[in-house]
Amino acid sequence: MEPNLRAGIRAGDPDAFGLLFDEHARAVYNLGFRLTANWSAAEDVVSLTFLEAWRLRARIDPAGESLRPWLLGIAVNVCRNLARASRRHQAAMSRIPPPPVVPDFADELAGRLDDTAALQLVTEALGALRRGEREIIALCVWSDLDYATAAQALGVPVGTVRSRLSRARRRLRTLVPADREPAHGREQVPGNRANAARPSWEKER
Amino acid sequence: MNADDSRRDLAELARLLPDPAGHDLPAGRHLVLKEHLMSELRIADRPTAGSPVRRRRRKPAIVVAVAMAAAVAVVLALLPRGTSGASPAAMRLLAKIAAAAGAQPIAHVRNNQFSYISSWVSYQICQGGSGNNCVMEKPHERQIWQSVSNQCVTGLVREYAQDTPLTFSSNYLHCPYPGDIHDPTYRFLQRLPTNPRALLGLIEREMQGQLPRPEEAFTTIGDLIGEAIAPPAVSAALYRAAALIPGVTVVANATDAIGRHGVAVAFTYQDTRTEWIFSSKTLQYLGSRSVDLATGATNGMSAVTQRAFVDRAGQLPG
Repeated sequence: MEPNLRAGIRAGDPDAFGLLFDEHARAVYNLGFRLTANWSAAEDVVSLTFLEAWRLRARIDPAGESLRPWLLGIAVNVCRNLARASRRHQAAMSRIPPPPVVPDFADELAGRLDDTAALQLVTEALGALRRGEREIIALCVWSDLDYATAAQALGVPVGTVRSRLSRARRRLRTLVPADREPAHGREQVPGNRANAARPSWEKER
Repeated sequence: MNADDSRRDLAELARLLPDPAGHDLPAGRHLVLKEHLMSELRIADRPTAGSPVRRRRRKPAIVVAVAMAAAVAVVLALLPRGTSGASPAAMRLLAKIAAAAGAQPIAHVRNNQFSYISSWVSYQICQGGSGNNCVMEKPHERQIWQSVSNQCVTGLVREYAQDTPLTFSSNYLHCPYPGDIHDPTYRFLQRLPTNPRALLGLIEREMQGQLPRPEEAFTTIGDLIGEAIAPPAVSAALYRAAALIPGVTVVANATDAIGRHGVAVAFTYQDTRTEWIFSSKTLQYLGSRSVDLATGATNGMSAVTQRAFVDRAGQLPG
């Protein structure tokens, strides 16, 4: 990241935040989607993460690498407690224009249905894990953070990252055969299907 | 463990898990959310609000030249913890509030019941893209029903004359789910430690990674005493835990959303002071208020008017 963009973000320059949004909204959206298993919640996670980033911007160090791990760490915290994050930014969140009722393109809808089926598998597998383990998987396996960066993003010791990953691995090994093919994975995972398929409202309070 | 081991472990995990479909925000939404963010930042971007630079100068200990992400851990380590606690006046007040809360009768609650909380709340409404044009809306009633034992049971929020089902936002719940420190049920709160230091330690562990620590602890406890029902011994412990948070002070005269006057326990962060307001006579919790110290304007307030247990979501006590 260019040093002056970073400085702009620290100083609260909205244009710098706009660039930050363009660069990282997708990563935050996907992380939010995997941690909440909910499309509209993932959109809220994007907005709340950048509002929180604005609130916490003074804590960015002037020099450093990409701000992506920092944003993903904020996103994890937002997902942990969507209700509180929403309340903190209640007025701002109430001003978001609602998504269109009818998707813009039929293709997009079809793609979404496929994704929803894929997500169901992910949800069932992750549902067997503890929250801390899911977060580390989302950061290290799917967002490509290394252990040290994930530890820093979450504010936990790196040993915690390792132990959560190895617990998750042991747990998943008992649920999934070593040579599993994705198409057959579903029968192997004793997830709570009713719960996974349950429509999920945003908790408003 | 070396880097090769890490890569091998991550590769195995990736193999064990289904491939998550990653993709962009839906067409158009990226732009809508970005425009919304930009407009919100302009509202928030008031020159009078404590600028990051000024804050840092006031607290030089926090300015440490380390890699950006490492700064997270360092800031946590440098913030005062536990040793200093609230101001002496706040400690004395919170001790009295805790004693009053602890003396309340213990409710007998069945697992299939709902907690009911009625309050009057008022938020700040800003017009257009500027933060200069904000007003407090008129207070309106908000009622909330939540299962006392299981977050998987759908609750209800009635606000602005509209009913909204209240369902937990995570799809990863193992039902029945008694909640957690951020979204507790009564049964969850019953099981919290009543030793204040142990309770604060538990709260701080749960909010790992949230910044900064005292502000998050104050906010978390504020949520638990505001729109939740805790058993008397736990309420008392929450107030005693708040007395251990550095930076907590007393505001002599505060007013809740329906005009009740009282004394407040307060915490200030980035020029916003959040107050928990208590009756000066009974020391019961009345409500809360948030004040922008840069402008002196109130930007949010509440007043709790009733807490009870009922048999159905939507049912009024009585």
